[in-house]
Amino acid sequence: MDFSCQATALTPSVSLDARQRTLRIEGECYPENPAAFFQPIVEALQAACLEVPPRLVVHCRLTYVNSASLAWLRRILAWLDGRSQEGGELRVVWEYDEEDDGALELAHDLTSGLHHIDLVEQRLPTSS
Amino acid sequence: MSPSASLYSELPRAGEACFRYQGLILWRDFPEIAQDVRRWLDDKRVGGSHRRKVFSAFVEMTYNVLHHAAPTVRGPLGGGAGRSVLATLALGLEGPEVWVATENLVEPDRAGALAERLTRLVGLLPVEARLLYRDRVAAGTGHPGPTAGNNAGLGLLTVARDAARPLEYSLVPGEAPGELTTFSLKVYV
Repeated sequence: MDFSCQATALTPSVSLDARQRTLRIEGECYPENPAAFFQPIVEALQAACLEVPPRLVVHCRLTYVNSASLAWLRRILAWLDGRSQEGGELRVVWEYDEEDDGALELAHDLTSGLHHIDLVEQRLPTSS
Repeated sequence: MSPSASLYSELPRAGEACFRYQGLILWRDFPEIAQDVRRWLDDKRVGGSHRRKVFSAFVEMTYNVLHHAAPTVRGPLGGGAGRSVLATLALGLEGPEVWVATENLVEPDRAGALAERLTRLVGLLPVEARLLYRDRVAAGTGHPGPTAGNNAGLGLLTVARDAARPLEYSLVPGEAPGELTTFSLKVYV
């Protein structure tokens, strides 16, 4: 099950390609109602990751995430991590501004204690 | 954005280096207010990690206002059926630091719990706030279903984690019993 939505002033663009096994999230994320924003993504992911263990590459380029959205992202990653315990392939490619080390720290916070996620850090020039 | 109403007391100012929104706030206004704050940060050349932390403090504190402030305006002025609150949101420059401040009304029975949370946060050393934040994020392992909460109490902890100084706050009860309490919060980033 594929899924996509366009970026808005408060939410990122999201694109799930079930065949390619990729999820892309790009933009800023501080929706008024995080549950309403994330629930369709969760449902699409659950449908796409029916196999055990799942294979998925998550590309994140989030310039800002508020705390409520962060909690949702953590739950999603923890759920995927739990389903990967028997040898799935779960990779998070975290793209961040070279002038913002705090954004990299965010990736470490999100994946802390999740042992089946391969975190790939990609430092991007500020102008890009 | 032009403020649509005036409110309460004066927040600290920093001369010309101050962004200030004072008035009625609706959810639908927030993107425009946030854009104004971005322009202000551009104008003051606040960049990189500092900019993200300031913007984060502004968003978390505003959402705190929108979620927890006592709704003081209803009906057409309040956006029809929508919930709206009167509040002050402000940012200013003070040396190398940016301060972010909010002021709003809260129900008196919420003031105690709020004071308790803030007292705990004020007492944290930066490294303690950092570790507590990571622990709280890591504790968020519940199933991401429709019954999951939106937050794990991370908002004000996020603000405390990024603060350059301890949070400053005040809770001033109304003059008569049962009157709303005025809540002010300020953070230096």
